[in-house]
Amino acid sequence: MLEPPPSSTAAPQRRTTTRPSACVSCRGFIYTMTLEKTRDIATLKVVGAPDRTIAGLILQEALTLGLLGYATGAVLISGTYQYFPRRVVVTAFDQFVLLVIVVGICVVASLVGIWKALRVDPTAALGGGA
Amino acid sequence: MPAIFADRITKVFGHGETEVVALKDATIEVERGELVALMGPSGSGKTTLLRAISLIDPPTSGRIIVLAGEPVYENDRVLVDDRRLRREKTRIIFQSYNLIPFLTVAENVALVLTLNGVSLREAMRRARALLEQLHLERRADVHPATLSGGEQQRLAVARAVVNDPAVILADEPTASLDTQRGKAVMDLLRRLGRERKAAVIAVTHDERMIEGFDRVYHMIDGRIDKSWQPSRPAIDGEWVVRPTGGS
Repeated sequence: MLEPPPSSTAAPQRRTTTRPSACVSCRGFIYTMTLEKTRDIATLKVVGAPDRTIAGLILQEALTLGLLGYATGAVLISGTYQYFPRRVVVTAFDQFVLLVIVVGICVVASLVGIWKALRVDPTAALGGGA
Repeated sequence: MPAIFADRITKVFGHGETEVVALKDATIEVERGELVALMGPSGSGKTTLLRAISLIDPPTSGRIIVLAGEPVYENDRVLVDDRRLRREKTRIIFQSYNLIPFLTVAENVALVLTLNGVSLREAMRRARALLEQLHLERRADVHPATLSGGEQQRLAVARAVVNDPAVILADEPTASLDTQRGKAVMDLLRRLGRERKAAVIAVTHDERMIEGFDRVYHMIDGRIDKSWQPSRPAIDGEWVVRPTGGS
Protein backbone atom coordinates (compact mmCIF):
# COMPACT_ATOMS: atom_id res chain seq x y z
CA MET A 1 0.00 0.00 0.00
CA LEU A 2 1.43 3.36 -1.00
CA GLU A 3 1.77 6.06 1.56
CA PRO A 4 0.05 9.27 0.52
CA PRO A 5 2.57 11.94 -0.46
CA PRO A 6 3.27 14.77 1.97
CA SER A 7 1.05 17.71 1.27
CA SER A 8 2.58 20.76 -0.25
CA THR A 9 1.94 24.37 0.70
CA ALA A 10 2.51 25.66 -2.80
CA ALA A 11 -0.75 25.67 -4.69
CA PRO A 12 -1.69 24.90 -7.36
CA GLN A 13 0.94 22.26 -7.79
CA ARG A 14 0.85 19.01 -9.66
CA ARG A 15 2.70 16.02 -8.41
CA THR A 16 4.17 13.96 -11.08
CA THR A 17 7.31 12.17 -12.06
CA THR A 18 9.09 13.00 -15.22
CA ARG A 19 11.96 11.53 -17.16
CA PRO A 20 13.46 14.37 -19.16
CA SER A 21 16.20 12.00 -20.23
CA ALA A 22 13.61 10.42 -22.54
CA CYS A 23 13.67 13.64 -24.54
CA VAL A 24 17.37 13.27 -25.18
CA SER A 25 16.74 10.09 -27.15
CA CYS A 26 14.74 12.29 -29.56
CA ARG A 27 18.04 13.44 -31.02
CA GLY A 28 19.13 9.97 -32.05
CA PHE A 29 15.63 9.20 -33.21
CA ILE A 30 15.43 12.19 -35.58
CA TYR A 31 18.91 11.46 -36.88
CA THR A 32 17.98 7.83 -37.58
CA MET A 33 14.72 8.86 -39.24
CA THR A 34 16.65 11.23 -41.49
CA LEU A 35 19.05 8.45 -42.45
CA GLU A 36 16.09 6.20 -43.30
CA LYS A 37 14.70 8.91 -45.59
CA THR A 38 17.93 9.47 -47.52
CA ARG A 39 16.40 8.33 -50.81
CA ASP A 40 13.29 10.49 -50.35
CA ILE A 41 15.44 13.51 -49.50
CA ALA A 42 17.54 12.85 -52.61
CA THR A 43 14.32 12.64 -54.65
CA LEU A 44 13.18 15.98 -53.25
CA LYS A 45 16.49 17.49 -54.33
CA VAL A 46 16.11 16.00 -57.80
CA VAL A 47 12.61 17.45 -58.19
CA GLY A 48 14.06 20.80 -57.19
CA ALA A 49 13.16 21.28 -53.53
CA PRO A 50 15.37 24.01 -52.06
CA ASP A 51 17.39 23.39 -48.90
CA ARG A 52 15.05 25.52 -46.78
CA THR A 53 12.09 23.27 -47.71
CA ILE A 54 14.01 20.13 -46.76
CA ALA A 55 15.23 21.72 -43.51
CA GLY A 56 11.69 22.86 -42.73
CA LEU A 57 10.31 19.35 -43.18
CA ILE A 58 12.82 17.87 -40.74
CA LEU A 59 12.27 20.65 -38.19
CA GLN A 60 8.50 20.18 -38.43
CA GLU A 61 8.87 16.45 -37.97
CA ALA A 62 11.12 16.89 -34.91
CA LEU A 63 8.81 19.44 -33.29
CA THR A 64 5.71 17.36 -33.98
CA LEU A 65 7.29 14.29 -32.44
CA GLY A 66 8.59 16.24 -29.46
CA LEU A 67 5.29 17.95 -28.73
CA LEU A 68 3.30 14.75 -29.18
CA GLY A 69 5.71 13.00 -26.81
CA TYR A 70 5.42 15.83 -24.29
CA ALA A 71 1.62 15.80 -24.41
CA THR A 72 1.44 12.01 -24.17
CA GLY A 73 3.86 12.03 -21.23
CA ALA A 74 1.95 14.78 -19.43
CA VAL A 75 -1.38 12.95 -19.78
CA LEU A 76 0.10 9.62 -18.69
CA ILE A 77 1.91 11.05 -15.69
CA SER A 78 -1.05 13.10 -14.49
CA GLY A 79 -3.17 9.96 -14.53
CA THR A 80 -0.67 7.64 -12.86
CA TYR A 81 1.52 9.70 -10.51
CA GLN A 82 -0.29 8.47 -7.42
CA TYR A 83 0.93 4.93 -8.05
CA PHE A 84 4.59 5.91 -7.84
CA PRO A 85 6.27 5.51 -4.43
CA ARG A 86 8.56 8.51 -4.87
CA ARG A 87 7.37 11.75 -6.34
CA VAL A 88 8.78 14.99 -7.57
CA VAL A 89 6.77 18.15 -7.25
CA VAL A 90 6.41 19.80 -10.63
CA THR A 91 4.85 23.22 -10.74
CA ALA A 92 3.19 24.82 -13.74
CA PHE A 93 6.39 26.80 -14.23
CA ASP A 94 8.41 23.56 -14.15
CA GLN A 95 6.15 22.15 -16.83
CA PHE A 96 6.67 25.22 -18.96
CA VAL A 97 10.45 24.94 -18.52
CA LEU A 98 10.23 21.27 -19.47
CA LEU A 99 8.25 22.21 -22.58
CA VAL A 100 10.93 24.72 -23.53
CA ILE A 101 13.59 22.06 -22.96
CA VAL A 102 11.67 19.58 -25.14
CA VAL A 103 11.35 22.15 -27.94
CA GLY A 104 15.04 23.03 -27.56
CA ILE A 105 16.10 19.39 -27.73
CA CYS A 106 13.89 18.88 -30.80
CA VAL A 107 15.44 21.88 -32.54
CA VAL A 108 18.96 20.65 -31.73
CA ALA A 109 17.98 17.13 -32.79
CA SER A 110 16.61 18.43 -36.06
CA LEU A 111 19.82 20.41 -36.68
CA VAL A 112 21.74 17.15 -36.69
CA GLY A 113 19.17 15.68 -39.09
CA ILE A 114 19.19 18.80 -41.28
CA TRP A 115 22.99 18.75 -41.40
CA LYS A 116 22.83 15.17 -42.62
CA ALA A 117 19.97 15.85 -45.07
CA LEU A 118 21.68 18.79 -46.73
CA ARG A 119 24.66 16.56 -47.48
CA VAL A 120 22.60 13.90 -49.21
CA ASP A 121 23.77 13.47 -52.79
CA PRO A 122 20.85 13.82 -55.25
CA THR A 123 22.27 10.93 -57.28
CA ALA A 124 21.21 8.68 -54.38
CA ALA A 125 17.71 8.98 -55.83
CA LEU A 126 18.75 7.40 -59.09
CA GLY A 127 19.22 3.75 -59.80
CA GLY A 128 22.30 2.26 -61.36
CA GLY A 129 22.82 2.00 -65.05
CA ALA A 130 24.99 3.70 -67.53
CA MET B 1 13.81 26.79 -80.73
CA PRO B 2 15.47 23.74 -79.19
CA ALA B 3 14.24 22.90 -75.72
CA ILE B 4 17.65 21.56 -74.92
CA PHE B 5 21.01 21.65 -76.62
CA ALA B 6 23.79 19.61 -75.02
CA ASP B 7 26.95 20.38 -76.91
CA ARG B 8 30.02 18.09 -76.82
CA ILE B 9 29.34 16.78 -73.34
CA THR B 10 32.25 14.95 -71.76
CA LYS B 11 32.19 13.29 -68.37
CA VAL B 12 35.26 11.87 -66.71
CA PHE B 13 35.24 9.95 -63.44
CA GLY B 14 38.37 9.53 -61.33
CA HIS B 15 41.91 10.71 -61.98
CA GLY B 16 45.10 9.24 -63.28
CA GLU B 17 45.13 5.46 -63.48
CA THR B 18 41.52 5.21 -62.26
CA GLU B 19 40.23 7.69 -64.83
CA VAL B 20 37.16 6.56 -66.76
CA VAL B 21 35.74 8.57 -69.66
CA ALA B 22 31.99 7.93 -69.38
CA LEU B 23 30.94 10.48 -72.02
CA LYS B 24 32.99 11.81 -74.87
CA ASP B 25 31.79 14.77 -76.95
CA ALA B 26 28.16 13.66 -76.88
CA THR B 27 25.93 16.19 -78.65
CA ILE B 28 22.16 16.11 -78.53
CA GLU B 29 19.54 18.66 -79.57
CA VAL B 30 15.84 18.25 -78.89
CA GLU B 31 12.95 20.54 -79.85
CA ARG B 32 9.86 21.16 -77.72
CA GLY B 33 7.27 18.48 -78.36
CA GLU B 34 9.92 16.15 -79.79
CA LEU B 35 10.36 12.63 -78.46
CA VAL B 36 13.85 11.24 -78.39
CA ALA B 37 15.10 7.84 -77.29
CA LEU B 38 18.60 7.16 -76.03
CA MET B 39 19.64 3.60 -76.72
CA GLY B 40 22.77 1.57 -76.36
CA PRO B 41 24.32 -1.27 -74.42
CA SER B 42 24.92 -1.17 -70.68
CA GLY B 43 27.82 1.11 -69.83
CA SER B 44 27.44 3.18 -72.99
CA GLY B 45 26.74 6.38 -71.04
CA LYS B 46 22.97 6.85 -71.47
CA THR B 47 22.13 7.43 -67.84
CA THR B 48 25.31 9.46 -67.35
CA LEU B 49 24.19 11.76 -70.18
CA LEU B 50 20.75 12.12 -68.59
CA ARG B 51 22.33 12.97 -65.22
CA ALA B 52 24.65 15.45 -66.90
CA ILE B 53 21.85 17.20 -68.78
CA SER B 54 19.77 17.49 -65.60
CA LEU B 55 22.86 18.84 -63.75
CA ILE B 56 22.38 16.22 -61.03
CA ASP B 57 25.89 15.08 -61.89
CA PRO B 58 27.28 17.87 -64.10
CA PRO B 59 29.62 17.10 -66.99
CA THR B 60 33.36 17.65 -66.97
CA SER B 61 33.22 19.79 -70.09
CA GLY B 62 30.83 20.91 -72.80
CA ARG B 63 27.87 23.27 -72.88
CA ILE B 64 24.18 22.92 -72.07
CA ILE B 65 21.57 25.42 -73.23
CA VAL B 66 17.90 25.22 -72.18
CA LEU B 67 15.20 26.97 -74.25
CA ALA B 68 17.79 28.76 -76.38
CA GLY B 69 18.74 31.01 -73.48
CA GLU B 70 22.06 31.56 -71.80
CA PRO B 71 24.05 28.37 -71.12
CA VAL B 72 23.14 26.69 -67.85
CA TYR B 73 26.45 24.86 -67.92
CA GLU B 74 29.69 25.65 -69.69
CA ASN B 75 33.17 24.17 -69.28
CA ASP B 76 33.03 22.70 -65.81
CA ARG B 77 30.86 25.51 -64.43
CA VAL B 78 27.20 25.26 -63.49
CA LEU B 79 25.90 28.75 -64.25
CA VAL B 80 22.43 28.53 -62.69
CA ASP B 81 20.75 27.22 -59.55
CA ASP B 82 20.48 23.59 -60.66
CA ARG B 83 17.56 22.81 -58.36
CA ARG B 84 15.64 25.81 -59.64
CA LEU B 85 16.27 24.58 -63.16
CA ARG B 86 14.91 21.14 -62.29
CA ARG B 87 11.99 22.70 -60.43
CA GLU B 88 10.93 24.94 -63.29
CA LYS B 89 12.20 23.61 -66.62
CA THR B 90 13.45 20.03 -66.48
CA ARG B 91 11.87 17.02 -64.87
CA ILE B 92 13.09 13.49 -64.33
CA ILE B 93 11.17 10.23 -64.39
CA PHE B 94 12.95 7.50 -62.52
CA GLN B 95 13.26 3.84 -63.35
CA SER B 96 12.09 2.98 -59.82
CA TYR B 97 9.38 5.70 -59.74
CA ASN B 98 10.82 7.46 -56.64
CA LEU B 99 7.45 8.56 -55.33
CA ILE B 100 7.37 10.11 -51.88
CA PRO B 101 5.88 7.32 -49.72
CA PHE B 102 4.48 9.50 -46.94
CA LEU B 103 2.49 11.71 -49.34
CA THR B 104 -0.75 10.65 -51.03
CA VAL B 105 -0.98 10.19 -54.79
CA ALA B 106 -2.48 13.68 -55.27
CA GLU B 107 0.05 15.23 -52.90
CA ASN B 108 2.92 13.66 -54.85
CA VAL B 109 1.72 15.45 -57.97
CA ALA B 110 0.87 18.69 -56.14
CA LEU B 111 4.31 18.78 -54.51
CA VAL B 112 5.96 19.91 -57.74
CA LEU B 113 3.49 22.78 -58.07
CA THR B 114 3.83 23.93 -54.48
CA LEU B 115 7.61 23.97 -54.91
CA ASN B 116 6.98 26.41 -57.75
CA GLY B 117 4.96 28.73 -55.54
CA VAL B 118 1.43 27.53 -56.43
CA SER B 119 -0.92 27.56 -53.43
CA LEU B 120 -1.69 24.15 -51.94
CA ARG B 121 -5.40 24.41 -52.80
CA GLU B 122 -4.72 25.28 -56.44
CA ALA B 123 -1.96 22.66 -56.64
CA MET B 124 -4.30 19.96 -55.36
CA ARG B 125 -7.01 21.05 -57.81
CA ARG B 126 -4.61 20.83 -60.76
CA ALA B 127 -3.16 17.55 -59.49
CA ARG B 128 -6.61 15.97 -59.26
CA ALA B 129 -7.54 17.22 -62.74
CA LEU B 130 -4.41 15.59 -64.19
CA LEU B 131 -4.98 12.36 -62.24
CA GLU B 132 -8.47 12.23 -63.71
CA GLN B 133 -6.96 12.49 -67.18
CA LEU B 134 -4.71 9.52 -66.33
CA HIS B 135 -7.58 7.51 -64.79
CA LEU B 136 -6.02 7.67 -61.35
CA GLU B 137 -8.65 9.90 -59.74
CA ARG B 138 -10.00 7.08 -57.57
CA ARG B 139 -6.53 6.53 -56.15
CA ALA B 140 -5.85 10.20 -55.43
CA ASP B 141 -6.07 9.88 -51.65
CA VAL B 142 -4.14 6.67 -51.10
CA HIS B 143 -0.41 6.29 -50.64
CA PRO B 144 1.75 5.25 -53.61
CA ALA B 145 2.74 1.91 -52.03
CA THR B 146 -0.82 0.66 -52.59
CA LEU B 147 -0.65 1.26 -56.36
CA SER B 148 0.35 -1.32 -58.97
CA GLY B 149 3.62 -0.88 -60.88
CA GLY B 150 1.84 0.56 -63.92
CA GLU B 151 -0.15 2.98 -61.76
CA GLN B 152 2.99 4.09 -59.95
CA GLN B 153 4.73 4.83 -63.23
CA ARG B 154 1.67 6.74 -64.50
CA LEU B 155 1.82 8.74 -61.29
CA ALA B 156 5.52 9.40 -61.91
CA VAL B 157 4.63 10.65 -65.39
CA ALA B 158 1.90 12.87 -63.91
CA ARG B 159 4.40 14.35 -61.47
CA ALA B 160 6.79 15.02 -64.33
CA VAL B 161 4.35 16.83 -66.60
CA VAL B 162 2.12 18.68 -64.14
CA ASN B 163 3.96 22.01 -64.33
CA ASP B 164 4.54 21.88 -68.10
CA PRO B 165 8.33 21.56 -68.08
CA ALA B 166 10.38 22.24 -71.20
CA VAL B 167 12.32 19.00 -70.88
CA ILE B 168 11.39 15.60 -69.46
CA LEU B 169 14.23 13.17 -68.86
CA ALA B 170 13.09 9.59 -68.37
CA ASP B 171 15.57 7.02 -67.13
CA GLU B 172 14.35 3.63 -68.34
CA PRO B 173 10.76 4.43 -67.40
CA THR B 174 9.49 1.02 -68.48
CA ALA B 175 12.26 -1.17 -67.11
CA SER B 176 10.18 -2.41 -64.17
CA LEU B 177 7.06 -3.07 -66.26
CA ASP B 178 5.92 -5.85 -68.56
CA THR B 179 5.69 -5.12 -72.29
CA GLN B 180 2.01 -4.14 -72.31
CA ARG B 181 2.27 -1.80 -69.33
CA GLY B 182 5.57 -0.47 -70.62
CA LYS B 183 3.98 0.46 -73.95
CA ALA B 184 1.06 2.10 -72.19
CA VAL B 185 3.44 4.26 -70.16
CA MET B 186 5.46 5.18 -73.25
CA ASP B 187 2.25 6.08 -75.13
CA LEU B 188 1.24 8.28 -72.22
CA LEU B 189 4.63 9.97 -72.09
CA ARG B 190 4.49 10.53 -75.83
CA ARG B 191 0.96 11.96 -75.72
CA LEU B 192 1.55 14.23 -72.74
CA GLY B 193 4.92 15.33 -74.12
CA ARG B 194 3.28 16.43 -77.38
CA GLU B 195 0.24 17.98 -75.72
CA ARG B 196 2.33 19.98 -73.31
CA LYS B 197 5.12 20.79 -75.79
CA ALA B 198 7.83 19.15 -73.71
CA ALA B 199 11.00 17.68 -75.16
CA VAL B 200 11.13 14.10 -73.94
CA ILE B 201 14.43 12.23 -73.74
CA ALA B 202 13.92 8.64 -72.67
CA VAL B 203 16.61 6.07 -72.00
CA THR B 204 15.54 2.62 -73.07
CA HIS B 205 17.12 -0.76 -73.69
CA ASP B 206 14.03 -2.13 -75.35
CA GLU B 207 13.83 -1.67 -79.12
CA ARG B 208 10.10 -2.48 -79.04
CA MET B 209 9.54 0.76 -77.13
CA ILE B 210 11.05 3.12 -79.71
CA GLU B 211 8.07 2.94 -82.05
CA GLY B 212 6.58 6.45 -82.22
CA PHE B 213 9.74 8.27 -81.21
CA ASP B 214 10.79 11.13 -83.46
CA ARG B 215 14.46 10.31 -83.18
CA VAL B 216 16.67 7.66 -81.68
CA TYR B 217 20.22 8.37 -80.56
CA HIS B 218 22.39 5.30 -80.26
CA MET B 219 25.28 5.45 -77.81
CA ILE B 220 28.34 3.30 -77.48
CA ASP B 221 31.39 3.78 -75.25
CA GLY B 222 30.22 7.23 -74.15
CA ARG B 223 29.74 8.52 -77.69
CA ILE B 224 26.68 9.01 -79.83
CA ASP B 225 27.56 6.90 -82.83
CA LYS B 226 24.38 7.30 -84.86
CA SER B 227 20.85 8.62 -84.83
CA TRP B 228 17.80 7.80 -86.87
CA GLN B 229 14.12 8.53 -87.19
CA PRO B 230 12.04 5.41 -86.62
CA SER B 231 8.93 7.06 -88.06
CA ARG B 232 10.57 7.38 -91.48
CA PRO B 233 10.15 4.51 -93.90
CA ALA B 234 12.96 2.00 -93.81
CA ILE B 235 15.14 1.70 -96.89
CA ASP B 236 16.00 -1.86 -97.88
CA GLY B 237 14.87 -3.05 -94.51
CA GLU B 238 17.27 -0.70 -92.69
CA TRP B 239 16.42 2.51 -90.84
CA VAL B 240 17.79 5.72 -92.30
CA VAL B 241 20.87 6.37 -90.19
CA ARG B 242 22.92 9.51 -90.17
CA PRO B 243 25.96 10.26 -88.03
CA THR B 244 25.46 13.02 -85.50
CA GLY B 245 27.73 16.01 -85.18
CA GLY B 246 30.40 16.21 -82.54
CA SER B 247 30.74 12.51 -81.92
